[in-house]
Amino acid sequence: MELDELKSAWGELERRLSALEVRDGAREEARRREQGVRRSRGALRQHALVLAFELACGVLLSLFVGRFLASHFHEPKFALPAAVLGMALLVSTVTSAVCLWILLRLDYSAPVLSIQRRLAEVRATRTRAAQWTLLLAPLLWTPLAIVLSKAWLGLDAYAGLGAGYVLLNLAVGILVIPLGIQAARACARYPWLAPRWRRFVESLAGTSLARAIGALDELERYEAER
Amino acid sequence: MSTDRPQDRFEALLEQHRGIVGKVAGLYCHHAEDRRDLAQEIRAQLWRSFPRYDSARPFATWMYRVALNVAISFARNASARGRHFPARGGEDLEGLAERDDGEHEGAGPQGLDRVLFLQRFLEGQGELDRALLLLYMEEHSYRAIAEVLGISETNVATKLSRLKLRLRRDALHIEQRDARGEPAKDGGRRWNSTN
Repeated sequence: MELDELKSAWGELERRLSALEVRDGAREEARRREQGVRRSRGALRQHALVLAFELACGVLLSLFVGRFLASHFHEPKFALPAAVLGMALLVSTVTSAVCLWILLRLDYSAPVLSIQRRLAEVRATRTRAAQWTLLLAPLLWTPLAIVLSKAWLGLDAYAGLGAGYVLLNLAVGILVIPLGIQAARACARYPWLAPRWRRFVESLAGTSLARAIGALDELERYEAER
Repeated sequence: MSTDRPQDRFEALLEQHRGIVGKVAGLYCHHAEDRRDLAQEIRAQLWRSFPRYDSARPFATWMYRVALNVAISFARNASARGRHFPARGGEDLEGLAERDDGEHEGAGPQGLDRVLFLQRFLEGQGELDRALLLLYMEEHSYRAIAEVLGISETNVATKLSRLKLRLRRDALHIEQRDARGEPAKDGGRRWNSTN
C-alpha cells in the first residue's frame, strides 16, 4: 500500500464529501428558511465575543476602582486594597485587549503554521490569565470586600469587622490556594465531570496551560522538523 | 449579473471552487451539524478575508489557506473546550457510502474498503498532517504545499515520507489482522487488499 494508491481512493472520498456538502447545503437552506438567519456556533466568533465582553467589564471595573482610588488616595487603608485590585484588573484588561487585537487582526490567508502559532499563543496567554485569576481570587476577595463596602455602603470594613478578621481572611486566602490546586488536580482525573466544570478544574490545576504550551511546542517541532 | 461588485466576484469564485469548503469541512468534522457549522465558518471567514485576496495569485491556494486555518482552529478550539469530534456519527461518510453503493462504478467492496481505510487513516493523523495529506492528494506541488502550510519544501518531503511509512505500517497491520481472521477492533470493515 502506497500513498499514491490512496489518491485513487481520494477521488471517491472527494465525491462523497462533495455529496455531503450538497446535502448539508440543502438542509442549511431549508433550516434558514424555517428559522430565519441561523446563529452560528462558530468557536472563533464566540472566542472574540467573550474577549470583547471581558474587555468591556474590565474597563468598567477599572474605571470604578480608579475613581475609588482617586477619592481615597490619602487613606492608605482604602487606597492599598484599591491599588491591588486595580493592578489585577489592569493586567487582566490589557491581556484581554491584546488577545482581542491579535484575533481581530489575524489574516486567515497567511500560511497555516504562522496563524496556528498566533492562535496557540493567544490560547496560552488566555489560559495563563485564567489560571492566575482563579489562583488569586481568594486573595483578591478581601480587598474587594473592603472597597465595595466602602464605596457602596460607606462602611469601614476594618472598623466593622476588625483588622484581625481582615488579616485572617487574607491568611485563609493564602492557605486556600495550594489546597485548591491539590483538589483541582484530584478532580481533573475524574472523567464524569461536566465540560464546564472540567474547564474550571483544569484551569486551576494547570492542565489547560500545559496543554496550551504543548500545542505551541508541537507547532514549533512541526516547523523545525527536517 | 455584474461581476464588478466584490460580492459578485467572490460568489463566482466560491462557486467555482465550492468543493474545497466541503472537502476541508468533511476532513475535520464528521457530524453533520459540526460540519455545517464549520463550512459556514469557513465561508464567513473567506468573505471577511476576501478584500486581502491578491487576484494575481491562484484563488484555490488562497482558499485552501483560509479554509485550513479555520478548520484547524475550529478543531483545536473544540478539543481545548473538552469537546472531541467523534470519528463516526449517524450521518458520516460510511453511512452515505452504504446508501449510495452501486450507484458509482468502481465503488465496489474493495474500492469502498480503500476509501474507508483512507478515511480512518486521515482521522488518525494530527490536524496539520491531515492538511498536508489533503493537499498532496489534491495533486499540489511540494512548493504549493509548503506555501500553504508555511514550512520548507524539504520539510514537506520529509513529512510525506514519514506518512508513507506510517501508511505502510497501518496497511500491513490490517492485512495481517485480516489474514488471521480477526475482526476489526473499531467494528469497521476489513480492507480486502490485493497488494
